[in-house]
Amino acid sequence: MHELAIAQNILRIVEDEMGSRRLQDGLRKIHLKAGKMHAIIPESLAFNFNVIKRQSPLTELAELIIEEIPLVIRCRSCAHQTGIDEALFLCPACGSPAIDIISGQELYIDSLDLKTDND
Amino acid sequence: MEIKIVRDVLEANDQLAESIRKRLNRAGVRMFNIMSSPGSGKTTLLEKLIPILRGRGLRIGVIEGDITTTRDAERIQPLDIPVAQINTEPFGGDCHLGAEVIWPALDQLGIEQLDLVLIENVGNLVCPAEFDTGAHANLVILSVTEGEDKPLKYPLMFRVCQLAVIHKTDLLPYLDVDPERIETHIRQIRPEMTVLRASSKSGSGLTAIADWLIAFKGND
Repeated sequence: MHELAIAQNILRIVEDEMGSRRLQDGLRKIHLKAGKMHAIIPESLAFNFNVIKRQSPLTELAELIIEEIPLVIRCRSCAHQTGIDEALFLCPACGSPAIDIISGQELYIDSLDLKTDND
Repeated sequence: MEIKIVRDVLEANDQLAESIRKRLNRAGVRMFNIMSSPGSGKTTLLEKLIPILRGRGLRIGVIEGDITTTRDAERIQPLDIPVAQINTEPFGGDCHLGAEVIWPALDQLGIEQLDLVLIENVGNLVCPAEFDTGAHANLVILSVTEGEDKPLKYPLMFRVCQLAVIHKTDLLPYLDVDPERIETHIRQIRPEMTVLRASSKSGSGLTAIADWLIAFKGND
């Protein structure tokens, strides 16, 4: 539901990174890692991003590539580690609620792909 | 050519939220962010809870968040406490309150004269969970008419809250709902959640909520 706010944040961060490297064009891909907890709908986020990316010459040709990171938990009681499909934070092996979330909560821009002279 | 940047998408909000918490700590103020779906009874709960908190000698301020209208702020007004109404419609109808609208609301309230600030967030179980308001703790209100499996459907919301209030318990005689099952489902998402049951209509459970707010120290 808040994919537009996320897209706007992505745009601001990318503009900041391009600006700090004195890059004025050439951005082709933005690699986003989205943990499953955030329930981002990739099609919706890409759609929103494609609308607002035209606001800036820095981003207008960029494609947002979204990699979904699965939810992985580790049990502090029995050390069992597993991916989970549903957000049920109890150890499937021993039933303990003492679990740590290893992945699935992240939401970050990992890297940018820039056009090289060969493109 | 690939440039590695590794930047959190929500960093700007998170940084401002941390600044808000520091500001509140300097002023000796605790702030709580109250979230729920629309119609769970947040405003009514505040109307009943605030007099109890004031009776304990606390100075309260409220930040009201809605997409549009000032109706909730108008309901709180008669309690004669500082209220800041945020309408997100001018911002494009934002479905949540971000740290950037909370900061100026604190200016409006005059937090130096307050002990406790309560945020009534936009009625929405999805987006507000993503955006740290700078509060010391998050509360989720879940009314018994919303279904036992609500926590399973909105895991992020229940994951980021420290207190869950099962609300409108006065309606239980008319429903095929088991509050024990609601509580079980909440604990599947956040095992360490404090869960209280309350009815603003009957007054049941309100003192326990006030006790919890007063006793809460720090944020986890």
